[in-house]
Amino acid sequence: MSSIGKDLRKILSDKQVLDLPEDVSAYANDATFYIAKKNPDAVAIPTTTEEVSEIMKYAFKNKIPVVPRGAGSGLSGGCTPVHGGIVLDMKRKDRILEIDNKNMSATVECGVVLNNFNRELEKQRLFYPPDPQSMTVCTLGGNVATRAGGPRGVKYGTTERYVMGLEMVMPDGTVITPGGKVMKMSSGYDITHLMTGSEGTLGVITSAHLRLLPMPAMRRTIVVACTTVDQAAEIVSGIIAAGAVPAMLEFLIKLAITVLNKYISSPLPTLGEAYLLMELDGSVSQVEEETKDIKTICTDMGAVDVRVVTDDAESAAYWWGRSRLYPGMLQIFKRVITEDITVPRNSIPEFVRRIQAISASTGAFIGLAGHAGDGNMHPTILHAEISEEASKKADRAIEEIVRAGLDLEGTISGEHGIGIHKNKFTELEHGAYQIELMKKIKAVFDPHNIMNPGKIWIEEAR
Amino acid sequence: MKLTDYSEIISRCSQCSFCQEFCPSFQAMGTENFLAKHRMNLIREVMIDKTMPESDRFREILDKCLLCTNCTRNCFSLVPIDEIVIAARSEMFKNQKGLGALKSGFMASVLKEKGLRSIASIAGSLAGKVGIGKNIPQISTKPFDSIYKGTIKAEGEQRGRAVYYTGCGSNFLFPNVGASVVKVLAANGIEVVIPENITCCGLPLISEGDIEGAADMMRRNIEALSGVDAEAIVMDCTSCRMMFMKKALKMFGKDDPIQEKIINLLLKIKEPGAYMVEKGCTVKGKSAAKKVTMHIPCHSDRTAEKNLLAMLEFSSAQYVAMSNPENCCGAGGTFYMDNSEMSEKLRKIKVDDIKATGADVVVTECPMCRFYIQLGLPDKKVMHPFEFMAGDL
Repeated sequence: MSSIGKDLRKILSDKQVLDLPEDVSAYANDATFYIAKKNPDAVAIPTTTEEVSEIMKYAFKNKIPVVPRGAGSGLSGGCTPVHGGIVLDMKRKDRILEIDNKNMSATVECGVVLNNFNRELEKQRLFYPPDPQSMTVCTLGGNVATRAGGPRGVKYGTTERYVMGLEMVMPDGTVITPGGKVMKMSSGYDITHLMTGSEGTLGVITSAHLRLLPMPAMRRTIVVACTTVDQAAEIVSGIIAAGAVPAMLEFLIKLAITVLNKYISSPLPTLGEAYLLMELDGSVSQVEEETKDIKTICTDMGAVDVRVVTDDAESAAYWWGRSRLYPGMLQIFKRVITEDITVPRNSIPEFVRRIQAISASTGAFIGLAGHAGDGNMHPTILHAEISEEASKKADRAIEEIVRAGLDLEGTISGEHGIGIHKNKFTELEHGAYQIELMKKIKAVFDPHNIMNPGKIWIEEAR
Repeated sequence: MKLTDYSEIISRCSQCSFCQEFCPSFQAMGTENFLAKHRMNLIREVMIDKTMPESDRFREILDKCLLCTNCTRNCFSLVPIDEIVIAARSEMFKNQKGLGALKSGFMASVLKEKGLRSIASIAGSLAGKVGIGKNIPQISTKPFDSIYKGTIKAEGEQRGRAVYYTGCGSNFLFPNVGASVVKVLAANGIEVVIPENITCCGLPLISEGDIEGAADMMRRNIEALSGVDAEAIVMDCTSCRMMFMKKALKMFGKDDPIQEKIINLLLKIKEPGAYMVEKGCTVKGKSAAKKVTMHIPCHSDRTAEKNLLAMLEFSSAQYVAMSNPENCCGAGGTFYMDNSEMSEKLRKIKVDDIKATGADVVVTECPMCRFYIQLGLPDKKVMHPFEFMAGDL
């Protein structure tokens, strides 16, 4: 029994603390295995804000690192303990406190699983758009902490657009409630949105007020087969330039389709090199009109095949398959490293060309699957073999992809967050002054540097 | 396959953690140390890479897997998670040092010597040990095979002929299930052959890690069933069907001549309802129930239920689906005997779901799900779909 575990048992019940190596090693990594693993000394499983506060008071007094964690389904090493200490497993703080259909808002605890939330909303014909592809397991707290998003980003943006207020526990145990349930707020600094995307480095998000929308009356899926990757990228630009706004506009290479096809009752023809998977939503007339426009654009620009899916079950199968592409790629490859570069939308064709050039020059196989509609391309390094050589190629490719993205005025992360996977690139993106500013802000919130240390930027030696 | 042969396959796990949606062990315990993904990582570290010791806690985490196969069925990286857990247990079984070694050693020897009849008594002694005495199914004084033997003639015009592989549940624990299957089939023009010399499907053994013991049983079953002339082999238990359909081929070497016999049999194995639908049977339900709901056992192949529902439509009862009919009920065969806390949590969710449907009757194919749900739901009738069709209330 670790001494931290022993102390935590004074605050929590025995069952809310894990400190055996066989148990805590479950918290050493997230949804990746290529990022350095480190066991926490103990895992605490609080179910109330008061318990979180007590744990923080203890950690603050003893200067013990604390890493808040939702489902652990992240892809950047954001919820893993670089310096050991305590992992706060927040999954059991999972009540939906309120769904207010008059104010179009909901108040949820941080451990609520996104899909469970969606199921409750559906009963009232309400809609919460952010759709990270791990939605069957990921938690709303984790979504807020990383500004998570997914395919719907193109029309609806990502999580931060829906966060109106928070309850959070500060590193010293103080509970604060920045923001609120109001549609607008022009009162003081926006601490709510500073916390949103802070990846657990400023405090612990314990609950959130989220903005809701009415459920669209109609949804329709369209699949477009393109002859080349370039053509697919050009069509994306064409659709955006024409002013059409699909709810989702996904870019997939043929390889992804071969995996998807196993799960679809009427498989897609694999005659193209790249595919666009779209969903339109809105009123019936709006969807009909957009369908017509998009069909025309795609056909005019030379798409091989435009399939309008009218069967709901078939549509659902495409999107279900899409959400499982990350583990699905492991059917073919031995390692899959997903990048999260996002570029201005008009730069997509250029970015795609640069990725292809990087793939050719480094010898790394780079798959393209992403939310092309919002410029978030997820270039993915696919390893056929695991070797030092392959890792070197991958590292080189990642660095070049990052530089290409930044060169096109993009960002290194659209929706996954930085964690430790990309912390060496943040200074390249933001510049030394801004990183220094971030560090100073962190020091004000977290004077002992106990909140998820080692993330977002490269830390100085401790 | 040896455990070390799975090394590369385990590496396919992307760590995506999507198994959190499906793993009942994780859901009941609530923490990631009991997640399917973590079991894969631990098995690699402890038993393949040997970077961690094989501790009691490790065995406990492994033992808390119900072998429900929900993770495997839903794993997008195609990792055969349950198979790997079984391989790990097998390694520990061979070394006789697993937590369950005493239990499994005992179980294996008794099962092999005395065949099917021992299961309930083993369960009894186990239950005695953990102090849940009455919470085990009682062996019937009149097992199915003491009443039904040989060939049961079809009534009226004969539509087909099927072998009825009687699982342990339908033979020893709930012989009325066996009787109902035979009655319903015969009443609908199917001649039923009760095979001789069959034994347990072997699932209780592989759950404990005794792969070889299970393979011996499977071989005996395959030989016995291969000798019968019939167009179909009907099995009324989801777990027996899973053992034959998904595990049998993998239990023997590629060059073993038994493989060809298995392949021939696999084409014939059917859920009895599916066979009846195929033969154009229409059953008039005799049940007095107004509403019926169905629990889908974890080991179900998910197609059987469609056929069973088609059959139920011929009865006067209304079918009401639970919100999560596929959720694990917590039984996990004999799992609940050693893991009452976890199992009871899962059962409570199941029972609440059942109550919300307002159904009078719950049907489910698995004898252990049936027994365990009934224990937690004493005021409703839980039965096999064929008992429902036969009109036993």
